[in-house]
Amino acid sequence: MSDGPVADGAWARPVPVPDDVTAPFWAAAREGRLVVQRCGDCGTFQHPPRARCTSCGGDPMFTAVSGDATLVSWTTAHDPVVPGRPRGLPPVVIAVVELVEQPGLWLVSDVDERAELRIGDDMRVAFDATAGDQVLPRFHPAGDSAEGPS
Amino acid sequence: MTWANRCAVAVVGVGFSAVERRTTTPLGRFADDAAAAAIADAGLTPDAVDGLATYPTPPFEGAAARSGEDMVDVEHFLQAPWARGVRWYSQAGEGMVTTSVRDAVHALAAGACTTALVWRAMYVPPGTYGTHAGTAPGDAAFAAPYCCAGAIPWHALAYRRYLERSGGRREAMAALVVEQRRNANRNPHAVFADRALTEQDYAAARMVADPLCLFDCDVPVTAAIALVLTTADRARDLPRPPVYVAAAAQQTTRREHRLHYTMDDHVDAGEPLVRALCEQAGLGVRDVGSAQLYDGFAPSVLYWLEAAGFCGRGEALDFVQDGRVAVDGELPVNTGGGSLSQGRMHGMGHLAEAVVQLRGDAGERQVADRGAALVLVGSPMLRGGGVLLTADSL
Ligand SMILES: [Zn+2]
Repeated sequence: MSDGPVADGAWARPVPVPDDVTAPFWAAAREGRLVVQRCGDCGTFQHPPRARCTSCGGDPMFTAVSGDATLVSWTTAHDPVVPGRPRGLPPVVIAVVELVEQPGLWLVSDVDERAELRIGDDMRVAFDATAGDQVLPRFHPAGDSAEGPS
Repeated sequence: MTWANRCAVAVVGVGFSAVERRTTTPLGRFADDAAAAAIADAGLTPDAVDGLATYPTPPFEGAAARSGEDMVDVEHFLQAPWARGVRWYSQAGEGMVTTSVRDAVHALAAGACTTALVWRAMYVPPGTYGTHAGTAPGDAAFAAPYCCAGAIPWHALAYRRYLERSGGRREAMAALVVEQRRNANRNPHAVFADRALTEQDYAAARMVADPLCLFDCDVPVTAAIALVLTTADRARDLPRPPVYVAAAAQQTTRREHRLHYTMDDHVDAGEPLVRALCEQAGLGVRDVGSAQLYDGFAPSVLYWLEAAGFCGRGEALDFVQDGRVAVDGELPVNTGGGSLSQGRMHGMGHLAEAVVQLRGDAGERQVADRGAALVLVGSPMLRGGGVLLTADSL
């Protein structure tokens, strides 16, 4: 496991701070599992985690998801303003992906530089980056050979 | 149904401080200058002010938020020697300055105060942003570790999807950005009053987060702008032509819980806001003679244009071509230069420009139709707000 391509030794990614609501997401990531909240009452998935279901007010529970997604949008950010990141490092491709489980169920990821991306591209999760001692789920174009969980 | 407070309150004074990029002068001095200018413009003395309203939040993370230094909150003016008569104030946390205007209207109409000072002061911190090592609490934990922090990537991601879906070309944005710069070149209060911008400059600009280039991003400034508001009956006895607050509303509709919002989401959320403003005023968007549309990033103008119904979905980039949004065009937009070229005032520049236009004081950039001006501020999905101002009482 490495710090991933955007943390090339010149800086460290900001470290996620789990709280009472989000802790299970980060605990699962350490085990190479992607989990997302799903309402026990109405079945709606939601992310980021909240104390109650934002659709019906019910009780959300973390549920394993497939890790398959499609590309919603992306940008190549030059010197993004991120705490701890000095200027002058290579640009970074930031993406929003939609998990296949539900429309609007979106996660953010940086993506390895690649010639061409298109809205709707198939993406797949891998756990190949860290921030401090926290493992980060990251998404890769599904065609790429990513070292994700098999 | 029209608003109970429609045209019950008017803007009777406008004041601008100097506008700078970085400076060692404390921000409080800029606010004092803007307030003094607005009060004098209204033909009043400072002791007439008995109400205060602002949206003070510093526009960057890591601010010390010290009153009068990098932020000018209500406390700054409560400490002023002339402010002993203040008996009402409001400090907004959301919705930017349109919220402060709306709060002031309510207070004035209800008799909680008679003369309200509404201001916004903005500060550019020294050094570069983001040099401290960081942790990412709350929702930032799901974005910042991936270099997605601050407003830039969020707007870039939304704009990319908008262009891909609408078939628009990012190069076409030059028409809007260059037009706004022309307006700033005719506005003495603009930070870029003396700096021209050509289509060639736009085409050659460095990319910040594609499709956003440097000139699609607003220009941070240190400055303050203040307005004086009073009731319509008092306004008629004051020297300047009153500009009436015909409508004031906030975006309050439920938003889907998501990590990111698209341009379409903003249009969806902006439509009911604009509809509320029109209903309050009893006007239609066709009655609007000029529009001051928030432009923290150039694409924000596109979603506001579509939300207001000035054009259809996905059509705004076409709409801003061919001089249609120029001062002498079909719908003059951001006639003072907007945040892109007048300076990042978080909507206060837009409000002040609308007042100046309706008074007929805009000189070389004066629009012909001085009936009604629409001001839409912030991002609809992020609790933006708006006001409709009119030159005549409706
Ligand atoms: Zn539910």
